[in-house]
Amino acid sequence: MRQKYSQFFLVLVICCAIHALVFLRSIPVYFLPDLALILYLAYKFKDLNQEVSPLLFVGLGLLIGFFLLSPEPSQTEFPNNYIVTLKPFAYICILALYSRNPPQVNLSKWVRMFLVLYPLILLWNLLLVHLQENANLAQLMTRRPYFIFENNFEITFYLNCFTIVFFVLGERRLRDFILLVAVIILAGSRSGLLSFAFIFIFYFLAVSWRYKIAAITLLGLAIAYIGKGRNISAPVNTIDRVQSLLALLSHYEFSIIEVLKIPFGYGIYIKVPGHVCAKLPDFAEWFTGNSNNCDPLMLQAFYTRAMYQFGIYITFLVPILFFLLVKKEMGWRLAIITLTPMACVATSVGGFSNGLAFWGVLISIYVYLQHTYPILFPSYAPKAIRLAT
Amino acid sequence: MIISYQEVTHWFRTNFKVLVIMEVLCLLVAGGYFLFAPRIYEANFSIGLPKVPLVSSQPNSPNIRLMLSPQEFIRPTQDPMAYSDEFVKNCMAQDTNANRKKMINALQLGVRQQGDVIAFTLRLEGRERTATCANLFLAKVLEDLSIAQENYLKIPAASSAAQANPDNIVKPSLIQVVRMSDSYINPDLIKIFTTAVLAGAFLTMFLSVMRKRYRN
Repeated sequence: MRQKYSQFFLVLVICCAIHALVFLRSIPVYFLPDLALILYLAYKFKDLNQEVSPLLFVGLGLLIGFFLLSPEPSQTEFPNNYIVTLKPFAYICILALYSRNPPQVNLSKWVRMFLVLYPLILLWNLLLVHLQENANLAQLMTRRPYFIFENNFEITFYLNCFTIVFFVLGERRLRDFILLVAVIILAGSRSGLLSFAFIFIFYFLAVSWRYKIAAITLLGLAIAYIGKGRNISAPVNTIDRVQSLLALLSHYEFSIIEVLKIPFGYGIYIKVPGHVCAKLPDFAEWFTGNSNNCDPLMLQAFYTRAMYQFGIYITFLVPILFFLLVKKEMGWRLAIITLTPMACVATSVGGFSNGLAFWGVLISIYVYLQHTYPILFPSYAPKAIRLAT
Repeated sequence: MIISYQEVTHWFRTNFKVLVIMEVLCLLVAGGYFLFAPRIYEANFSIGLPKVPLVSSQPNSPNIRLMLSPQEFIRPTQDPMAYSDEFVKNCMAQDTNANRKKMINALQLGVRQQGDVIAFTLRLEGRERTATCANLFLAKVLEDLSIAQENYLKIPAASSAAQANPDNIVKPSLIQVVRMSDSYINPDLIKIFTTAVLAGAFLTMFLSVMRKRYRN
């Protein structure tokens, strides 16, 4: 037990040091999840041995098709950051190829640890803000703390960790739910709150009445806190993601027929139409540093961007492909629960094109395999399993 | 379908020669295509749509509007039969039905700024031809829009509104002169060679499957 706590504090100190480094030095970190993924794929290539879903070819076809067949961009325009756009198709291929290739590390132990670590790191972030800016409590309440990445992405990963512990491992502790609510409140993320609301439904259906009452109270607390802090009662069309969706829909003259008429979208190289971009100059500046560089990434939400770049059919096909691949390993109930955070956050940020969110899904599958088939997918931690094998 | 490390490495070992041959062949074809494919150049220009005084009974309504919406301009512009024989001949060397369609397909129209600017992108073979054709398009659309605006302002209600608010008439204008691409935009070297590498790999896979099926 003592060793367990000392290990926890050691990891906490390391995480706080990493966060302090990222916070104080503003180190570029956006590529880290994908770099880790590439390294993992290379490392585990030797253990590749699984039944591969034919959906691999669908993902591959979409990846190659959009890369090679998208209409050419105009030479007078800045090039798009199209690699990000192509990432969901690459993730589909990875999911098809590596879904039964977990590491030989006891992931559930680290997931449990992260559930407790993360809220402490968020508090550490707030302490650093207080020390650096001499911010008072009211100012700290409006901050959106993070560990390494933007907290929208981290909340998705954290929610996946919660679903792993609660639904996959079946450890139904109220403490974990309280920690989750604390994280949602601290992070102040609206898309995080949306994901949490959906996860709450699954949680509510799974627990006893005593826990249900506690959960409703905590949900109310989270909604009230974020609702006040992020002004959720404000008109819907003042929310930036809604503004970008409405601006894009104005390009289709708010007609579903116009949307359906372009089955494969405008491709990955074409800019957002100038008159749409003109409505959102701040977003373009924010993403590319130039209000004339209207990269579709400025539309922020995956669904909005994908509707323009891939067309409406592929936009819906991507979550379906993810679902089918996860369902193959975990069954449809757990697949829905596992993909809920990613699908919800895609209303606000990249979602299906975000490396950290993808890691959340991949780790969920791996923990499920390690937990359900310990003989087939051994991890070196539990002694009993080692003895059994 | 089971894929394993052993199978992948075994496949590479047994098909390595075929893979190399296929890759070399595909890259040679790609190189040949790159050398002999027609060079496509791009010309860009943009125009401002005309504006006219608003004929309205509402006292506080805005007193100027676009004479025609971007879509009302774009749709007829994309009609292959809307261009004179001489125009197509000057643009495409020969006035044939195929050339008319080719000319329209080479033209991309986009809406810019507040929806009042139309951006033209024209992609054709040869630098000179593209520049000539873009200038012809520019002259034609500006002339057509000017005539349409003059005709509109002859309508009595519009005419009286124009006399009352002469400052609210905005003539069709040239926003960006014809600008040529720095070099050809097609064929794209990176894409051609990526396609060749992928084609080489897929062809090898196909051949190895066929060999396995019919040799045994």
